Amino acid sequence: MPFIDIFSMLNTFLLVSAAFLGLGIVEVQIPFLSNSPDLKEQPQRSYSLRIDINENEIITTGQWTAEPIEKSETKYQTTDADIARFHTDLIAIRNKVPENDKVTVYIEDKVLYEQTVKVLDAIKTLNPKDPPLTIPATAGEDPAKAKIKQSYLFDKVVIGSVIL
Amino acid sequence: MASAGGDSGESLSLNLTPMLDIFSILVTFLLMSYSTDPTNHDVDANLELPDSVTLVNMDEIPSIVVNRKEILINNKSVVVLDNGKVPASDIQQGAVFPVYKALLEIAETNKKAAEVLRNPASDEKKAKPGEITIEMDKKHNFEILRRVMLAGQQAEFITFKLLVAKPGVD
Repeated sequence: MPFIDIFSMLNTFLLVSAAFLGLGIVEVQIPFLSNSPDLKEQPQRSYSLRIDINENEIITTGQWTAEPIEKSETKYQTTDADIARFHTDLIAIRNKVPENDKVTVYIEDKVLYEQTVKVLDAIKTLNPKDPPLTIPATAGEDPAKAKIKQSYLFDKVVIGSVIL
Repeated sequence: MASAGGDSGESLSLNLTPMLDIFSILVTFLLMSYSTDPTNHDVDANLELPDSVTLVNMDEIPSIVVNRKEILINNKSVVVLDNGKVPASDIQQGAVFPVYKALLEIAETNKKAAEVLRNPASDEKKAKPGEITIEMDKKHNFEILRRVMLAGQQAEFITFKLLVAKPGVD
């Protein structure tokens, strides 16, 4: 009988303290103005990737900041199948331009938060089934940092529509 | 074996072996999923989090909660939503003004704490712009999030961690 008593107590304690829902975070940034000097040397020609999300569509626009601009625009529906296609295309863009790890996202006011998170997931997270990124390691880079870099598709997501 | 007797004089015996089996399995399952993570958080009862495949675990308790009825900052209600929208009287320069005021207080507190903790020998001259975690109902639209983020931006918070539900407990 003491054995059953212990089991009952343990069960009660564990059931009360159990976390049945795993909680995670999706980190995003918003633009801000700073008066401190920009210490980073900007490359003369860089790739800019913009993603517009509205109720029915996701529009990806990529272009270089200097000639040749090579502007490309692709439209996707907000269905699960099309979001998967959008994610695959982003992997291809990331592998094509490995130095660009930033995406600016513009979201319409009517888009549901649930839909927003789904698209942000497709932009940021590299799934275990996805092919590995072919990003060359920077000289002298911390291996731990390089590993983290490989687990994100696009690490920096800036919500461009949050601006005065 | 436990037994129970009634008025009729008949005795019933209770077989405890299957119950012990169930208990053992339950205890094993619960012990395996038991988390000693100090950042345990109970999600607000008035909201449902969006699902996500993110690999990043929650690392701090959300300061901003936007449930179906109101906006709370550190568990204190600052705005009551009107049909899922921020009332026009609470909006200033596109941002939710009561949220801005509450976040400004948090930013000031954080700055003071950073001043105390800063190493005088360090080269760091200015505190980095803040980070804040938001817990929001999945059925809200982006307009609310935009207005809350704008309030955060005005209070010098530029990194937002959106709290999401992960499909499997790790």
